Amino acid sequence: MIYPGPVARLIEELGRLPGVGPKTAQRLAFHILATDIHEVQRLAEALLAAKAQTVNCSVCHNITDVDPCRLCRNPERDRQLVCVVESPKDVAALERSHEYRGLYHVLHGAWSPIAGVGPEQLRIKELVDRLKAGGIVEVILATNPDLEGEATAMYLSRLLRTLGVKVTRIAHGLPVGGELDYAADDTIARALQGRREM
Amino acid sequence: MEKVAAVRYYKSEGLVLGHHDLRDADRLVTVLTPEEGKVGAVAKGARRPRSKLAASVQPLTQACFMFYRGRSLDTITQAEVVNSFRPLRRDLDRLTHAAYAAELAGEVARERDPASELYRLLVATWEALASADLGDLEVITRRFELGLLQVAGYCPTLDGCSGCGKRLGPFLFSPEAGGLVCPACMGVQKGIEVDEGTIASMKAMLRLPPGRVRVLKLGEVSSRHIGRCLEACIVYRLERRPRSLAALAELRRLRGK
Ligand SMILES: [Zn+2]
Ligand SMILES: [Zn+2]
Repeated sequence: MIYPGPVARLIEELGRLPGVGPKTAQRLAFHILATDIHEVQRLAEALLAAKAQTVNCSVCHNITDVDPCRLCRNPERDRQLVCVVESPKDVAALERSHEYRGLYHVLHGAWSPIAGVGPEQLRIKELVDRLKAGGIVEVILATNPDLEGEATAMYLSRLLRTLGVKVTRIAHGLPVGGELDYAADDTIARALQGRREM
Repeated sequence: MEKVAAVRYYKSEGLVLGHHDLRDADRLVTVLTPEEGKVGAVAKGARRPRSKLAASVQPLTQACFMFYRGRSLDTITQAEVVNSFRPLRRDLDRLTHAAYAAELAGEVARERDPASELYRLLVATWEALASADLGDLEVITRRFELGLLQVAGYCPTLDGCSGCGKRLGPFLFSPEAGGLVCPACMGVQKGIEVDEGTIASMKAMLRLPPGRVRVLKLGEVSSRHIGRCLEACIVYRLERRPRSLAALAELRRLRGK
């Protein structure tokens, strides 16, 4: 390595981040080295604080700083509705649409036969336990309209059929292949309104 | 200048085997093409709902692609869907069988190595899985496994013992030996038990295209025996268990409930 140890280590760590190649890692590292020490300190503290002060909500598995999370605690939310999404980013996208007033369940991924992601790697058992505990009338499947999201929705509808809850799928105002997280708010609102039973 | 540009771009039909996310809503797509074999290409912005590429780079899609040959990775500049195999996306059993075939094809294909035979096999298999009765998915998948081993040059010997050439059974089946083995050649090693009917069915399968293999009307028992032999061959050749087998097993478990 042509860089001194600590610099090489920084480049290596940055390079582990998703979407950061060796070139970008190098650029970021030199940006950090050129930055005022107090600013670097703030960045380092923000990184640690975000990690240390958040957990997955023990009810819905969304990222939160209090457990249960603020959405799960909110008395104004409709407790009979649970919307199942792939990631915390999708909760944020649905909240931005201001269309949905129920609770969530975050799977942390999607079922993918090809990538080898199976139900045991997702928070599916936790969802089943939640439904078995009672009180939930409808489960809205809001996984992405891509292959893995559709597979997850079909799998869940098969699995949950036996539990006596209504299972619906958000409508496809969302085009095939896109991700919820990148969809416009009005598209999400329309998709929610047009959900159908599975 | 014109000439350089022409070499940098190439057009090909392809089957999308898989994908994973890159930064900025980009996707890295694995495509099987007849001429170029397996191609890893970037589809820029394909995760955005309004992306023109999104639908064509979905796994289990057949599309016509325009690629730009990059230094390390190619880029998909244009794409048009030829067949989106919608029935595969609408039924979890069809989808999982098709995904299993995609995974195996991706393991066998190599980059920049023509794969027209494998390409034809996979298209025919996806078409058959999309249109068949649900009860025929297993036999179509067995036909694909056998065809895959054949294309890869590992078709099991089914005419006699792979050791001594003896033509008359009984035989055992051994992935290590590459097919049938007589008890004498097998010695103390373990083989999979196969009866006459299973051997005959495998031979009959090879003579039928994936779209017609259902006429064999294999019983569930026979299909399971063939499955055990072929799966063992595949695991032996790949040196690992295909990931999608877990998904297929999970669906069987759910059906059994
Ligand atoms: Zn919560
Ligand atoms: Zn022999």
